[in-house]
Amino acid sequence: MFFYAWFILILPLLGFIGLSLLGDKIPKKQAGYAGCLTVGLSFLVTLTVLGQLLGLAPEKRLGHVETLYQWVSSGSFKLDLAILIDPLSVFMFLIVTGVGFLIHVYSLEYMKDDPEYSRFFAYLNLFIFSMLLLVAAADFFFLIVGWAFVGLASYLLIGFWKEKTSAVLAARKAFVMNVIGDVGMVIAALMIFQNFNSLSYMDVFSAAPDQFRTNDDTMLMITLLLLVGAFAKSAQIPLHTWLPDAMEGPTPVSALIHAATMVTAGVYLVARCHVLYELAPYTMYFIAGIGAITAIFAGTMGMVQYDIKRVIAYSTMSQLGYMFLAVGIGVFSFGMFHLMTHAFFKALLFLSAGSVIHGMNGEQDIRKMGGLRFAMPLTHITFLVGAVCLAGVPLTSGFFSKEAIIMSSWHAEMGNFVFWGMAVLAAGMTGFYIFRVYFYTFIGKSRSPETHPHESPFIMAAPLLILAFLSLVMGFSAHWVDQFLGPVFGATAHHYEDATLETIAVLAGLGGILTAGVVYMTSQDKLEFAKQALAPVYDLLFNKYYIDEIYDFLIVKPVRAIGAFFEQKVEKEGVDFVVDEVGLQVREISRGISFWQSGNVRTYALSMLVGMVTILFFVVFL
Amino acid sequence: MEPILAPESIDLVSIAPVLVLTVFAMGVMVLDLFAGKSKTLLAFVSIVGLLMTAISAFAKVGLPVFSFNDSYTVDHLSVCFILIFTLSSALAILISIDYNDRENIKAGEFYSLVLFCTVGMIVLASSTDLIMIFLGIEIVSICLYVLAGIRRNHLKSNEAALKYFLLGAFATGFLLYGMALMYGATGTTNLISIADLIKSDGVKSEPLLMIGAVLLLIGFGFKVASVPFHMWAPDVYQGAPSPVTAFMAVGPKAAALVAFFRVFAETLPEISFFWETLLVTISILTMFIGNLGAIMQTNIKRLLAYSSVSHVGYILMAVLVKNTLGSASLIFYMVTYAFMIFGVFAIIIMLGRKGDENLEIEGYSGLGFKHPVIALCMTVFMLSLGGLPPLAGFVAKFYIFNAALQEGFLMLVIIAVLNSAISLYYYLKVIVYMYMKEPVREFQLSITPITLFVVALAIIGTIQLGIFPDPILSLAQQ
Amino acid sequence: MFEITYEVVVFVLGITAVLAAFGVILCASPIYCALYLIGNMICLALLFLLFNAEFIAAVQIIVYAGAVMILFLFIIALLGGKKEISEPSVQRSSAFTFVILLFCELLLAAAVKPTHPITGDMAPDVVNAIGSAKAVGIELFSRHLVPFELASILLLIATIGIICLAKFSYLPARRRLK
Repeated sequence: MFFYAWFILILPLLGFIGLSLLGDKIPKKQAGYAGCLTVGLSFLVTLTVLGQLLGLAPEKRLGHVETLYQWVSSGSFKLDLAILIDPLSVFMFLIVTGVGFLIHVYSLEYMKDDPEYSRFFAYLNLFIFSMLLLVAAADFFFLIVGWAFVGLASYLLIGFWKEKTSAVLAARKAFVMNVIGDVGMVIAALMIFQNFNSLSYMDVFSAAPDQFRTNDDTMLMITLLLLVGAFAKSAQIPLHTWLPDAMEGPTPVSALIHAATMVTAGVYLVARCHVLYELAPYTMYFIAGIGAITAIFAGTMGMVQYDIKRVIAYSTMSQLGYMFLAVGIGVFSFGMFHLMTHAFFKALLFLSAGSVIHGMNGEQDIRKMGGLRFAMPLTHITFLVGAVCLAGVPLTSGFFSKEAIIMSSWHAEMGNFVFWGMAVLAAGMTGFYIFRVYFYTFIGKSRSPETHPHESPFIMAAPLLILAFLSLVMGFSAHWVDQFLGPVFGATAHHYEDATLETIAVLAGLGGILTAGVVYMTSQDKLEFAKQALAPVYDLLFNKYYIDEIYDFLIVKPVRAIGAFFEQKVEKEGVDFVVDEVGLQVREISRGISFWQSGNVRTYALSMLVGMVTILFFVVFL
Repeated sequence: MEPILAPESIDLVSIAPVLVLTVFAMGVMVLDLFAGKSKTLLAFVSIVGLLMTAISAFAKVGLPVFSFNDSYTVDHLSVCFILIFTLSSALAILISIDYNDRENIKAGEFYSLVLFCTVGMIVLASSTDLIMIFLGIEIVSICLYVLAGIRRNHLKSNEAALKYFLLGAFATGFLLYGMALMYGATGTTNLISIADLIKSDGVKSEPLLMIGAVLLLIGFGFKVASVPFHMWAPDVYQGAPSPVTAFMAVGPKAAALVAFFRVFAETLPEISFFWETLLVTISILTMFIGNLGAIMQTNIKRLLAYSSVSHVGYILMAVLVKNTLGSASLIFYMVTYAFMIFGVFAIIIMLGRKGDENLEIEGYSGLGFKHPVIALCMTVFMLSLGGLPPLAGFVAKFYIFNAALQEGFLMLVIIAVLNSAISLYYYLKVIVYMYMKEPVREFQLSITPITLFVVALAIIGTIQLGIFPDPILSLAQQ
Repeated sequence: MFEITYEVVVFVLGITAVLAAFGVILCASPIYCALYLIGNMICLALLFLLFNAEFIAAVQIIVYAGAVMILFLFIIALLGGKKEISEPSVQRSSAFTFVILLFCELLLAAAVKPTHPITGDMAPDVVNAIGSAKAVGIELFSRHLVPFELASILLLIATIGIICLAKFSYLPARRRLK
């Protein structure tokens, strides 16, 4: 019935193969167009699938497994090359191909001076293909395949500028983290296979409720191991350190992979396996807890960064925390809804930031920006739209999705006061850090007059406008999304109405914005005062330093202390240390093995002898 | 007096592959007299011989057939492995033609030794008698000692041959002693009789049998390069001429593994309680030492040596599985492994030139820009060795893990998966060098049609077996 | 009485063979090593004799102790077998420790039960009737036909190998340097 849905996957794959083989032969422009075309067509096919799916009765939309052919069959075990078409996968297709297409178009212009233009588009297509494979998979096996390929594509794209050492290092770090996640997933899949004798979603999900009690040890083990993969991919504590570093890659990559699509794979995984997770409420609490903690933790970090992309990266982590909070407390469709709105406004923010960086000739430090609202009016508007959505200003999409999660974190069955408090606190931080960037970047006067920022050309602006439009209006589709995804999750999520709580949450967000404004405005006043008091010669100097000093003293110091604590103790000495140490030890062992490999035959013979004596010892005495 | 050997068990058709190949091996030697300077003719005659051998493997119908008083078996396993051996030997000969020209290896015996070695492998894969197994192993080993040292003016090659010989002799001692003890414990060298005797509890001295089995395990462990008997592998792989290294890594190893399988999985499953734990430990150690050892290597051949050690760790799981699923996964793994290894070595040979083999991984920097197609092929092989889907290496690993899982070796499989992840690190290192570093040297490739043919064949095999593994899988499963 | 004497002789011969083998690996001078090896082989030949295998015993003496070992001795004499200077090293001592451990383990494990009695077509009376040499021949060319032929291939390969490694105009490293 949906067999043609295979084209959604095949088109980007063809794009990747074609571009990587013929990339050097065809002109640059055509390569870019080809890359966009495949994803665009894929999006159109997705729309067709969506249309057909909507034509069906809601309960008939589930479980359309389209098998291409049987890949492996050995005895009782079969592995089909199959995709699953249901509302959840189509929903993800829409986001991946839709946002992906816009970002492809944006990249046409953004990357136009890069000598390896076609390679970039080849990688982008590879990424789109892998991501689609991940969400289309009808069994855990192809899920993991897609999972691994997404990691690979991300590695290639982060390290795209290979002459940049920091990018290569960041790519490696991301890869290592992702492999850790992959191993967790594979072990989970093995356990699933051992228990259900199948890897297919259909079989596993239908058998699980009968086979296992709630909170069965095996179920907890499986869900937790799957979570290792989910957390690694979605940059949740403690597997988060790669995401900020991944900003070393080109900005469209950050927008596509590290904001809109790949990092949400973890949320998708939990939603997809909701049957298993519902059997393991302990794991659900764990997810919600980690999500909430990450939301706050990343928020504090975001408040002290000066790199425009890093701020947005931390904000991504924080928003992913929200999504995990949502799926953790069992309101899966709210999590997916936030995933969608976040994809729009975060892609918008990243692309706007990219436009800023483009206009500023590669500058990423917000301290060196300022006053861009005149030079880049369009980007200013789009960034502002993204920022208000992210901050959850009423009637924007971010408002609807975030409110739904915050409400549920109190009222839902698994919700409680602590989750709610953390969510609200994080909402306040969100408003603060994103508007801090906004004020720094677009308001006031330029802090580096020697650069002449310019507005980006139309081809970059168009995707921004589309995304801005979507970010503003898609919030009203909340009910539709819930209805659409409802059959997958068994029931639609309940919308809780609670005016008091809602007001508090909104106020928290607005409060954050206001604080940012106040801080910024105050410093403006000081600046004016300083200007009058001191000779204009020092103007520039103050402009550069004094603001920061005041800013520092008033607000940042305490926050920074916390942020620095996290960064130093948790990141540098905690997670990073562990990761580095593991790498180091592996190398040491490797060197040790090489050391034994002395080249001396007698040593070899001796080692054989020792091995033999040991083996015989075991046989004789044990 | 009754004839000792029943006339009906003298079945020359059953040993047809051995006979055909022996005739060709000797024929090649005689032909060497008339061949003149160029030995290419010999190579092609050898390949014809291997082809004939492969065909003659199907001479027997109605498998399994036991002949010569049950000391020789033609069954599905042996037929499949004869095909693998002939394939790998043919590929080895193909990649050695240009290499021998380039490196001035003028010995026509090279080809006949490869053929004799293949004879040994066939014997090893088909025999169900300890004496035959011993002879098979020795035929294979002696050929390899000579082949490893065939570049006589090359110090590393000499070193490799000598080391391999000394340690190999040491291991042979264990092997022979083990066989003697087993003979003492059971009164027969025939594996089928031994299995029957164990089943009917007729063994007088179980400890003697166990010690014998352990010594055999050690002997085989040396031949397949499993930890702690792997130390020879990196040095020998590095020193031997590249085609010989590739040959060694596939055929003889596969042969030893079949014998391993025959002795342990088919003959001694009844007393698996003691060797199973041992083999699990050895398998785990082999994976870890192989993978961890490979990480710091800078020489591509040493890297592949360690990688092949780690692959043995995975393959030993097939022996642990014991049933037909085990033998099927063993067959499939070795087929894919043959394609991958010969592909990689064909490329390694291409990248070298006379007097400069270019074996440091650093020398591969920037290959992706200068020679994109070759780099792409290398990438495919590396990813396949690392076990990434949809390539053959993945299916092979998956299949073997699946078999082990069905027998309940969950922990072992988890460790194996972990090791696969570690192994990606060094396989990707090669790819990173090719695509992400600036060239440090000039590339002067010695590309010839024959080597290209091998690479193409290997690529097709690696991808085909990855995407459509079913035909071969069902063949292996019969 | 005879029984006991027989057992004792076998045992003493066995011990002597093992001691001789130790002599081979422990002796510093290659000539002594070779001589110990001859001693070991003679002991083995005697053991064969005690087991009623006259033909094998004769072959053992003629081929191994005679031809092969004489060749060895010639080669050693030709190369000028010098006494090996042994300095005590960790490796050496640990090797000894492990060899002794191995020996103990084997003894411990094997001493538990007797070996399996070997039944075959060649019962003592048959052997007495047709003669030891013929019995060996019958066994070799019937039951062990394939292994026998394989052994011939093995020898052939060894010969080819040696020729292959030694035949061409090959200058030793020392002379090449000039």
